[in-house]
Amino acid sequence: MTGLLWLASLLLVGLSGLPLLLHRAFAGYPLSTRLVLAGASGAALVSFAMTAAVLLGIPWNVPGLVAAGAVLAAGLRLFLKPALVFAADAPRPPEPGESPRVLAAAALSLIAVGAALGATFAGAATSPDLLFFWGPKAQQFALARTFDAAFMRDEFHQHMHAYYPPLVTNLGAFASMAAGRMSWTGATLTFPLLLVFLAAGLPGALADRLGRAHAAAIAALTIAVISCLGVEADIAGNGEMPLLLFETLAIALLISDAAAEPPTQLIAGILLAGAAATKVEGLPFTISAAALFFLARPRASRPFWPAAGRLILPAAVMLSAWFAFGASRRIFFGYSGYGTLFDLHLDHARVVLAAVGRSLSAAGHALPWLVPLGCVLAALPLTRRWILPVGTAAILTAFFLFTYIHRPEDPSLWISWSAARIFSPVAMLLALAASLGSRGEPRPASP
Amino acid sequence: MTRLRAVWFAGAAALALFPLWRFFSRPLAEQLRLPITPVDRVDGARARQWRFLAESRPHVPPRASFTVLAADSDVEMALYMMSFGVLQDGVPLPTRYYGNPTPEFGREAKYVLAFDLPEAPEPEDRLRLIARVPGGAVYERTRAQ
Repeated sequence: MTGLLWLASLLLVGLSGLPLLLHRAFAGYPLSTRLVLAGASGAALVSFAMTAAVLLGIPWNVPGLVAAGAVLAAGLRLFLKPALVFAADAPRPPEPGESPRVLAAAALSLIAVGAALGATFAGAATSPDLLFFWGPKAQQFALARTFDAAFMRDEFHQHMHAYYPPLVTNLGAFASMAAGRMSWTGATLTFPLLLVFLAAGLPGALADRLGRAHAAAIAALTIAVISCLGVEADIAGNGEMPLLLFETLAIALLISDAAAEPPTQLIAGILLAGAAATKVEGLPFTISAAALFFLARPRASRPFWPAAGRLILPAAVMLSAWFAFGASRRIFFGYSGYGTLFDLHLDHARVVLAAVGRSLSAAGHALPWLVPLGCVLAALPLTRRWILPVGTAAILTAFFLFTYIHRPEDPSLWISWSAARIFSPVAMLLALAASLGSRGEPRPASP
Repeated sequence: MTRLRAVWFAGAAALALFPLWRFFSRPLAEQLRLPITPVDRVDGARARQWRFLAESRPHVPPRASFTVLAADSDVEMALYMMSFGVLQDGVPLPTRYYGNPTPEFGREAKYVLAFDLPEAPEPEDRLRLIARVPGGAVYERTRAQ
């Protein structure tokens, strides 16, 4: 029962995003997509409100945080012109036989979510990191109703990784405060819960470019990729699923026709900020996705500076607040590395590549990467938009390999329990890139 | 585009069904057993450690300090890390931290949670057995070290 209450309380953060997503600029999205975008934006904004409250010395309380998130969303709404015409407003005539295809895709997504739910219930997908530090930190912060600086600074709490971005522990603490205590079952069930949200919201985010049937099919592929990966790499309860939720929705928006519209860019910026506030690797994702957007979509990203502000400023503000907390309490001053920067151990390169290969093979015979890669190859040649998802995947891959090669000791063991998880966004990006084939485009697309 | 959609459907079906194939490839009775810990089917050893801590919890009073002992330093570190979550009201003190001995902290603990140790970790005049639990035993220190 506590688990259900814990999970249900997370829906409250979605309320915070509603003032923004109720703006008519988003009327072109289906209701399910608007609600999911509101939930994801609300989660990022409530997390930011929690960090800001700590900086201001205000103890957390659940209604106050929901209200603060809603005020932030209402404030962001002021940046949107009331009379904006949204690209997706133009109704698209249904294709012949569209409904059965949409239903078939929805059924596949449902099976994938069911597999994730079953594995999570069975205790077959739980991340040990939930038990080691995500959960204990969230629990401690909920009890303290703030970031417990003494707890984070303690020399025997180094395994808690004090510098890790705050969103996962913030939302865990939020739910624990609302439910009265931490729920381990509730925390693990965030995996299927966020997956079902993604299944509900993703088709609508892709539909303006692809049409309903194609969007539903590519969404089903993406959901199946994440479900399979999550079960095989044990991501239930850790930061991977929130990270994938933010990243998937952000990239889906940025490769859509609506990405030329400021409101879509603003929501994508908030989602990228959510990713950067979730895990360390969310930051290189955010930077590369924002930068590659300008390369992949030169016309959609004009004028440059306002678009850059919408995509990057939310992440800059959220991470600045986090590092301001760390520095002001003298706990951390940036992300911790594993050695001196550019002190690479190239003699480990072969070991690293072999270990990464083994780790990906152990996660469902690498099918979660190979299947979307096959779909990309089948879709060749791609439109120019491919630069965004494929380029981001390439930069992430380089970043992870750089991180592994950076460590002075043999990184094989570390890679064995981390690679499948951290490479999961690469699989998701390939799945979305598969939708960018240039042959038989359902609708002429602008770059 | 229609051919591509068929490829996406095939890929989605393969990946959606893969975990189910895994599920049905193992004995059904084992698969339908309700888990006791969050990691029952992820890591049996970790599940056993979690259960040990959960069973020890009722024997450690709120706000009491405790230390966790195990023969293997990695196991001891894992138990120490998980103890923050399971015994949230207690005060964990490490006897080893990432394998580095820290006995000056561990011996300050009022309670000792001994995992998989064949006998009491300290002489009997210093420790009182409180309970035997699955995976080990809980002791109370009877006098200052």
